[in-house]
Amino acid sequence: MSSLIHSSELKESIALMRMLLGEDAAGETTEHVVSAAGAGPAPAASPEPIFADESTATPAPTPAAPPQSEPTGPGPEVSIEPPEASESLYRGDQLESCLHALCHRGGLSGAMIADDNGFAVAAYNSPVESEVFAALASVLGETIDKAAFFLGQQGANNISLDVNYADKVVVRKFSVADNPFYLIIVCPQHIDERSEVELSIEQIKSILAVETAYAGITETAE
Amino acid sequence: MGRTIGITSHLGGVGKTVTTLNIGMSLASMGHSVLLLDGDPLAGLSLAAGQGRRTDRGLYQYLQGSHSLEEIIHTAKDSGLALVRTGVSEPAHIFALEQRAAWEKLWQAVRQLADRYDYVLIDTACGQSSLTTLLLGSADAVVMPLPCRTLAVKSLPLFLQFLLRLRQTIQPDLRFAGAIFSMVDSLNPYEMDIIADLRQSFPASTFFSTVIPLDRAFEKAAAHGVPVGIFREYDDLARGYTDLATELVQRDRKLQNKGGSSEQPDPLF
Repeated sequence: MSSLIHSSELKESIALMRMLLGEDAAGETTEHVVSAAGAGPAPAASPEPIFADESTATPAPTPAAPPQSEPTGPGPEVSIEPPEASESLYRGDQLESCLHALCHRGGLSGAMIADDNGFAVAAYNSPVESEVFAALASVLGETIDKAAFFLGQQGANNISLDVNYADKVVVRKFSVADNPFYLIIVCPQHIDERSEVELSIEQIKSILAVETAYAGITETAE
Repeated sequence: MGRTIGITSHLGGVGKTVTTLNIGMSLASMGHSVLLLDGDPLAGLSLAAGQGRRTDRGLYQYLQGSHSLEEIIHTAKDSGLALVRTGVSEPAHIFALEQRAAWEKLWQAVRQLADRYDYVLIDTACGQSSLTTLLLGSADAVVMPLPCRTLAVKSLPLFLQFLLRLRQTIQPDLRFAGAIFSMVDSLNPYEMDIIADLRQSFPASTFFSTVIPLDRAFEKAAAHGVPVGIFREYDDLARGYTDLATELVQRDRKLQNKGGSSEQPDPLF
């Protein structure tokens, strides 16, 4: 929590914003973050400017835009344990703190990081035994790789599984120093978890990427 | 009649110009005809779109009466995107532009542009200059990029009062389409705390769900004078702006329907 939360400026801004939006301001969508672009290879040639110099051609008529779907409803408040103040130097604690923040922000019920072998690295509010949940992450994670084989979709990195009428399990694959990891979460089906997951992935990567964070990585790096 | 949307903020360097250019590009890619109106006398949008600072065909010349509206529209080569530049090439023009920005003529110009395009996106200068006031007074809705920094939030009330004042005085139909978290550093825990606090505190519809991250790609795009989506390796960012543009269309339609009889989406055919 930042120091802003108790500031008079924030309270004044909220009141003004209510006036700007009107009293009937309804709940809106969940957050969706654009992931930072990776350092890919440079393009072969400089891109062309989008405007020609001083041209005055009139714009061509354009087709009507397709109607957009309505945004999803507001995410529910999920009851989870109060946050633990984690200033620990231990990577496991930092990862758990990160998972806790992910669940708290995104309204998720639980989250876990597992490695490629199906071993749990860190967990928060795992719905079943951590070992079982980690194994499930690994199994679902392997299914993601199959997408490249069956569908030709090399870029697939997450899979969602409805586990009952209310909840879903989502596995997001990511790599740190070429070692695959899986972030597995469980949450209500109507929650759009992607944004929070993408946000947390960057944080998790930064924790795992520290040289001493994970034995396998350290060995690889050496 | 198209929609006129002002991209504005009380601070400089928060991504107004980048947001305008990239949302404009995304809307154009979605099939809309889009006009970008450079409302900053320093011509930031024109420079970001790869145009030189100097031109003898811009808003200044139109307000001066030496050129018609048609003559100051610069059309992009391969997309439904067009640009109106400020036409400011000397410091003296900045003062003259502010003085000549007569309300009725500017309002009529923006309305005429809105008749020709699906969306007119106005990139305003930061703050509350007379030109910015008049341009926002011509807009149907405003979008506000907001950096996740304490001082940016603490200095927000005056600007919100300014927008309310605009609505009360010269543009009663002005709507707030939403604030965009821009230039977000997801590895900075303070910024993440601020986002969490703001989302928790403000009305739920205040903020766009899409967040634009801080990325070196923007500097590269600025250096080339193109939208960031032009680069194939930054398609993540391009997708983000497409999401943002989609959300803007959705929010704007919702604002138009507010107070109307129906909030049903338009039929496909």
